[in-house]
Amino acid sequence: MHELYKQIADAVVAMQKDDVKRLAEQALNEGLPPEEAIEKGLAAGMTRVGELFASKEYFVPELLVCSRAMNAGFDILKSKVVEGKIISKGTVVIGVVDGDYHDIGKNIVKLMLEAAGFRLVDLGRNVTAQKFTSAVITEKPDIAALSTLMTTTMDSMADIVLALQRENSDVKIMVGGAPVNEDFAKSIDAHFYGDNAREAVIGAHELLGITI
Amino acid sequence: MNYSASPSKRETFDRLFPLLKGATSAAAPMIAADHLAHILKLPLIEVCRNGKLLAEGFLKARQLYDSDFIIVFADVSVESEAMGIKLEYFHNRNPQPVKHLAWNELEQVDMVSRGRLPQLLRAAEICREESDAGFPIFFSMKDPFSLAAMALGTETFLEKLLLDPDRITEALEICCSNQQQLIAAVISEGFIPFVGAPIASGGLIGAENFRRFALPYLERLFTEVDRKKSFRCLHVCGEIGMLTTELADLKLHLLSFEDWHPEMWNHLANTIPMGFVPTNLFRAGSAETVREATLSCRRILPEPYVLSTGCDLPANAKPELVQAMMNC
Repeated sequence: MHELYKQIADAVVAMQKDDVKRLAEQALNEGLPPEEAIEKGLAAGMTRVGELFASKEYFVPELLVCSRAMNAGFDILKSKVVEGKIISKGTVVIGVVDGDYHDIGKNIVKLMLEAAGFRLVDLGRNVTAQKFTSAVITEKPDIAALSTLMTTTMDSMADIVLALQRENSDVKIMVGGAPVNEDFAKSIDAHFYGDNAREAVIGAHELLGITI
Repeated sequence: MNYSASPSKRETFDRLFPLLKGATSAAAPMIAADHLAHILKLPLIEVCRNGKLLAEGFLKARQLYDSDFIIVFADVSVESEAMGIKLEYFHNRNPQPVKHLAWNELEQVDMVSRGRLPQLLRAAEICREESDAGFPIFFSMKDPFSLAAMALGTETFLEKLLLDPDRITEALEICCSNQQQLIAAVISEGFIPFVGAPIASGGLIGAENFRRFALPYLERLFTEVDRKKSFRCLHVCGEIGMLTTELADLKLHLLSFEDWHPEMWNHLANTIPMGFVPTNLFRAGSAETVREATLSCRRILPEPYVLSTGCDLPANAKPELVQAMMNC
């Protein structure tokens, strides 16, 4: 692996946005394939960030700053990617359920899944069952990811899972958020519960039968 | 009321719950305005900003659940609204921020006269008027860290912790000053401050950020509590195991939590534990699962303790399931 990729990954982990930008430019100037710099540099860095988050060495502030650094590099590299060179692992429709406007967890999971190579369709906050099902029809995702931070809106999550299963029984459903747990996920027939963003990434791979 | 700077847990319990003096536990669920609206069968939009209706709800819940205390609380946005954020109100959903404050809009304000705080204080007053002398009325309020995050927008705020700590400190100073004023008013009115830390949670920010940015301001709030001879009561959402040292340093009278770490309580020998029946059971569980979880809490909580929900009840919690906890 090119040394520059490792430096990009290290700069993402070190939260050094300016270094990431500089190294991304350098990768392009040296003629390295941008899709490779994204995968082996930026995404590899975010994978390590996810591991540090899972092992409780990094927390939400660190995750946010690392993702900003990654995005700064991504903005530089993506414009030079030849169409078709990046193969998506699958499409994930993601949103915070009806009645809940807390999107920090959803945003973190989105960032981590994007970094891992999934195509994300972000429906935002306060997403109704109808909006979720419409997105499932139009986007034909492999996975629908639902998040909530409030106990108050767990009912909405159950309603949306039910609506999604009626609409498309093939779509895999993953759920997460502070009040949600394994038992709750099972009780509403979700296919996967993730306790954190790293688990969500692992779960998305598992649901689609992809080896990490 | 006798006051000791370093009371035993037993003394603290008897001071907090004089009507239960000598008992080994007290019990009540944690309730927000959304569940009150549910049991009053009224739209939340009416209940959450009306002191009289809030009080009616709390008093009805006390009767319905045979609670040993009331914690007056509407929703997490009350104090950030008092500081100036714009909220949108919905018929039956909690109000949501439409616009957070810009950094230069954060300022010291007369908290007790702004937003819904006068209504919340009125609700607490009515609850006291309708209760026996000595019945504890707690008043929920945010720690300065969580308040600053909610006023400025959590994501922006948490990013700036690492990128611009000086600015964070300025924001925390302002929020702390506002909360010191509120806590002083709450205690002066005869209520017990119940400080909630939903964002200053171990799982969200980790021990290092907690120690640097949340702990000093909590300590300043609690210094105000000591001056006024009240109680250091704190609720921390989410993971707390990694905050053992920090929570021990706060010398709390009462710690409410949802995350049980038995070894932690060796360091909190003088703190009354409050918790931690999982809230999701009240939505989808059965009376049996609630009873099992409650008995499990009762078996492991060191006496004297407060049996409660780990966090606020879901809005549509089934009253019979809350009663299953309370009757256990």
